[in-house]
Amino acid sequence: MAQGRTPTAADELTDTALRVLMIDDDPADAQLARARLLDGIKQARVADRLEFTNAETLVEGLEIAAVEKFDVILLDLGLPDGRGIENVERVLARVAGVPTIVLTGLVDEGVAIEALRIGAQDYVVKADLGGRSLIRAIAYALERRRLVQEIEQARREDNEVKDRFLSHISHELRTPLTAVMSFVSIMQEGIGGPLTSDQEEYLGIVRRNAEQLKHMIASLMDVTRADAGKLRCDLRIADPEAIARDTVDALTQPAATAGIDLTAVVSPDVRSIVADSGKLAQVLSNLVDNAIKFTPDGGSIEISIAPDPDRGEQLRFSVRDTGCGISEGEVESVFERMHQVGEQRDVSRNGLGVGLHICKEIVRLHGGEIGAESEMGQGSTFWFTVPLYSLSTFVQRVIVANERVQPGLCVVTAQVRPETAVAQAKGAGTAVSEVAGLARKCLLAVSDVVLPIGSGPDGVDAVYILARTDEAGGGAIVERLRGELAGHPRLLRNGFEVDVSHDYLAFGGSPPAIDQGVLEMTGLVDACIAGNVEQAQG
Amino acid sequence: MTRKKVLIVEDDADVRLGLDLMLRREYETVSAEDGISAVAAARRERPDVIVLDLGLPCGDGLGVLERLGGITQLASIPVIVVSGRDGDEPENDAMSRGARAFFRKPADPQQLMQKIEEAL
Repeated sequence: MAQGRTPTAADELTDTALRVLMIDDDPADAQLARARLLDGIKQARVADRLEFTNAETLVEGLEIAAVEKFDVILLDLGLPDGRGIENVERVLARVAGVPTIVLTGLVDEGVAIEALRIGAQDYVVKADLGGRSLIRAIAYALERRRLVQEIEQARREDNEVKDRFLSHISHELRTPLTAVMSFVSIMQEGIGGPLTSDQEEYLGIVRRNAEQLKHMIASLMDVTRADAGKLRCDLRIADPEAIARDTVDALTQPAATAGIDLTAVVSPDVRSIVADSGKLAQVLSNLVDNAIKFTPDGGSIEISIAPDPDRGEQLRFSVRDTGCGISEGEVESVFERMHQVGEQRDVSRNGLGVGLHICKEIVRLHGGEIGAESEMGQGSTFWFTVPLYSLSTFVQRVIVANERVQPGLCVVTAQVRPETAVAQAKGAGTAVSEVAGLARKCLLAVSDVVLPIGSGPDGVDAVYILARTDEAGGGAIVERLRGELAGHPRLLRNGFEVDVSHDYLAFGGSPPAIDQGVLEMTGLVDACIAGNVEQAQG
Repeated sequence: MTRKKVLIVEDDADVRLGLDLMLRREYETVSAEDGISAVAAARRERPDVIVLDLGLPCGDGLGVLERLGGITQLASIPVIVVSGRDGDEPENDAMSRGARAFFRKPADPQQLMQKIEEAL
């Protein structure tokens, strides 16, 4: 779009057009605007020619906007089939990204300003349609859009650069460290010849320091990734007890060495959560590790897991220690980056001070919260919460729309079967993740969901989609998914077969009230999922 | 009894030597430094197991993994992937292309040896 430059031969070749849609029921206003624009666009170097379309009702305008592309939309606030702010909302929803300028009478100026708040670019008072305001408003709106596009492009390129950089430094740091640890190992095993006991001791020191470097590089990469927004969590149905058990197993020895009693208490009403088990275990280990560092010989650390009393659908993990505690001021900032709490008694394994910051980020990505309470000299409790898995939450999202329960929903099942011995030995885990990724591309509506992996009764061998659509829509999703799978022959080559099918679940009579409806449909979906597995094995 | 053969694919000379020293006690070893010579070496030597570094010049490690999988005589050779790259993606990428196991650098020598033993 030529703007504020001397026209060159190149500009004449490109012949830019300004495509305007005016939604206004007054033909006189439309004519006036059109004339003004014809006059002004060349003068203001906005474009070479004008393509002007006029719609007289909101519905007509929305229909045209759905099929044709426009550079700017002029919208009257007073139309025969719509008034005020609602017009703006409907237009903005239909044509996201196209600058919209509101036309208003003097009386409506307050509404016009409200329109700016919800996303309109500018407003022009109708009495001024013959004057300069219209051209100016359009020129500014177009310039703003150009800037936004530039910013988004820059952000995309920036992310790509960050990605490559992260990948590069990880590899560059870890390769020489590999050589160091490899040769220490080789010497310790005597491959370079017999060792004196001094040499053995010194090699042990080298190894210990190399291990520290290894952990620090991991922390550095974690926090860099977290900062770049690249920390990813693979959310699945997870067993909180297993996470606690693994952590206790891993840290029993270090705790014992420090003379600390480590126990775990799991409440009987603990249910499955939606989580990345590996990352949550990392968080829990980090908290327990910190507790060990700050608790003296003879102290104790208790991990407890129970439903959170204050946050309905969340599970709370707590790590309580009888250590030296943290001052009130420090409790505030302890989850920030580069925070080192007081004096560390020995060389910290996680010397970079980023552990808790990463924990906070991981918990945030899970949709939970993290915090700490402490009393100097008494001890501290570090806790975090994680959402419990509830099928009805997902069912609700799909089946409830516009404050009503829809007549039914579709369950699409993608059963992943290992066909070869190697595939069976490896397990379907990675294959199922891949299928889930493909499934996410096949959804029809924003309200459709792919259930977290593991929603099936026997674990991780199927992916389920819940879609707010009918029988035919379900069939369409099945076809899409089959298409995606056909484009990924690797799964088949690795020995996995995927069977895709769908079921339409409907309410018996007319749809019930919301709460009852969600309850009923959850039961139906549950039965359907269980039934599917039986069929596959049958 | 002839010893089993391991093909080591790694571009860093020191890391390659380290792997070689560790493995040659138990196995016969051959090495390659980049993607192109890796596939050629696999064809020529018919190793029993391949240890493959993902960060290779001339033919990225994942590409080598895919190519090996596509050549009938070589597709059944177990490949153990090692990578210095960050994040979960390298492991997912490798496992979904048929790798037998994945280790992030620096790999624990005992665990690596064990996985190689299992793969044979």
